[in-house]
Amino acid sequence: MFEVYYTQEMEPRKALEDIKKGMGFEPSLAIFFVAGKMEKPELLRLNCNSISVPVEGIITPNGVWSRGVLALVTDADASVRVFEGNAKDVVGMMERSRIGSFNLLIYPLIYIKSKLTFLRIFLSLSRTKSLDKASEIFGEIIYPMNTLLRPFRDSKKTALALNIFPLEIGIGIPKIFLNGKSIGKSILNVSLEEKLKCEFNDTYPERGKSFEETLEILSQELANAKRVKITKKGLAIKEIDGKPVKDFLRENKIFIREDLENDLIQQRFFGASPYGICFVSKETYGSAPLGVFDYELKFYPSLFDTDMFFDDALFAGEFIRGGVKRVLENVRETDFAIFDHHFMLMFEERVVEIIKEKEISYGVFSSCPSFAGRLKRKLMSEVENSIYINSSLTMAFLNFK
Amino acid sequence: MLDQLREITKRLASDPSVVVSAIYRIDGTPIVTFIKDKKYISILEWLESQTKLLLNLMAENSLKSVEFKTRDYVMIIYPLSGSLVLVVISTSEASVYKLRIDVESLKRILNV
Repeated sequence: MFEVYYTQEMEPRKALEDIKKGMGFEPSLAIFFVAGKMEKPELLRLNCNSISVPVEGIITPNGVWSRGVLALVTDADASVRVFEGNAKDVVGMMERSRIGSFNLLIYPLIYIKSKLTFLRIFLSLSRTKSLDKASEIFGEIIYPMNTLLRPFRDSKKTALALNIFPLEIGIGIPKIFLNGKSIGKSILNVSLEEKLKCEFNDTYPERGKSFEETLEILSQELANAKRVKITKKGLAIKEIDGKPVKDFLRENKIFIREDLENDLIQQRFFGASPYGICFVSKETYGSAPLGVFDYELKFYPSLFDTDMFFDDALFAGEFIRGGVKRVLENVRETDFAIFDHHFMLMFEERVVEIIKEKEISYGVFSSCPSFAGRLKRKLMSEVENSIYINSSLTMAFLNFK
Repeated sequence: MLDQLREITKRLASDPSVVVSAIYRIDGTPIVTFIKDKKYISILEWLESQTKLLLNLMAENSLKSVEFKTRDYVMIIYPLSGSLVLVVISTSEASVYKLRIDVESLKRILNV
């Protein structure tokens, strides 16, 4: 059995009381999605494995809220495993671990533990000239979205990943807790023995059958599209059309954010950009965009492993032809929905229309959910066989019955 | 300068959601207007009739920008300098935060 409870109380003890009030069974697992600033979210615990995750918004039958707690609880046979290390080690550990029929991965997409870590990474990057080395350095703070899903795809199991990347990032953020303890830069795998109905979607047309066809589809779809050549390796991007990312953005008259150190320390790093590089996969001709900022960086980090993408790509601005109407065509009626938070930035209060139009009982706005599993449609976001990632505008739908 | 202003309106209009981009003098006189279809003239006329009043309101209340949202359109009025104001009208398909970043970027390029 799966139940969802919510409260707009932001004091954790009171929030917990509110949530417990309606609960009619002893859960084996509780996931608390916390929207808005809460002091001590680690106190959100029940007598079972309890996870607290920051999100940008919660969806309830009463509307969409940027403050409040949504608790997803179940008495199903669920295990929670914690994995820590670099992406390669973690993938190895996952492959060797027992993988259930349905897996929910919860982890920080980027995690900088301390100011010292930031300075060490920054200095190492400025000292190296090698793209390989830069990718290795980024591997210390980033879990690539596509790499992490490979063990689940290979074992033919379903996995939905919550790549937590809040809109406002700082040192030691996001804070995810398991049973009252911060997981830091670790990955939680909530593994269920029973199969859960999970659908995944994006807002793009289906991908093309060749590199050129996909590029053409994206050019028609996005704003200010321009074909570019990327100098890249793994998680590091050196240049766009032979220029550092900042210089390229300046040349294209785009100013976003500039002072990385200050933004991170003051927790003002804004984790969303309307401009990005749309990479095209060599394996499927699917595409994943990577948002870019104009921070002064010798190497720019990627949130996914770029090795299976062509060097030629499309630089473009975010746009959904048809707006909210088009999004509605891709949204399913569901018990629990997970929407990428870019929808909130793009459409602001109009996201409420999406929830109202479709029968969505509960859900959250978080960062770019990704998916491993089999889907019938040729989604643009399928960048490796049965692996679907995108750094914006993805959505997932869970049905409990 | 006029060429630079033309370039700004043209650049904004390259976003498929933007249907009107225009620059006005603070007294409400249009300097450069880029319009994608005749059907938007009525919205522009309405906006022009409000421009002077709005600019006074913005100056008196130190407002950084003014935005209107209707069911079908988003309108952003943004001062570029002490004497110039940018007006952008987009359809409701627009990525609102992209539009704001574009407007802010263009203001910085103009550097007036």
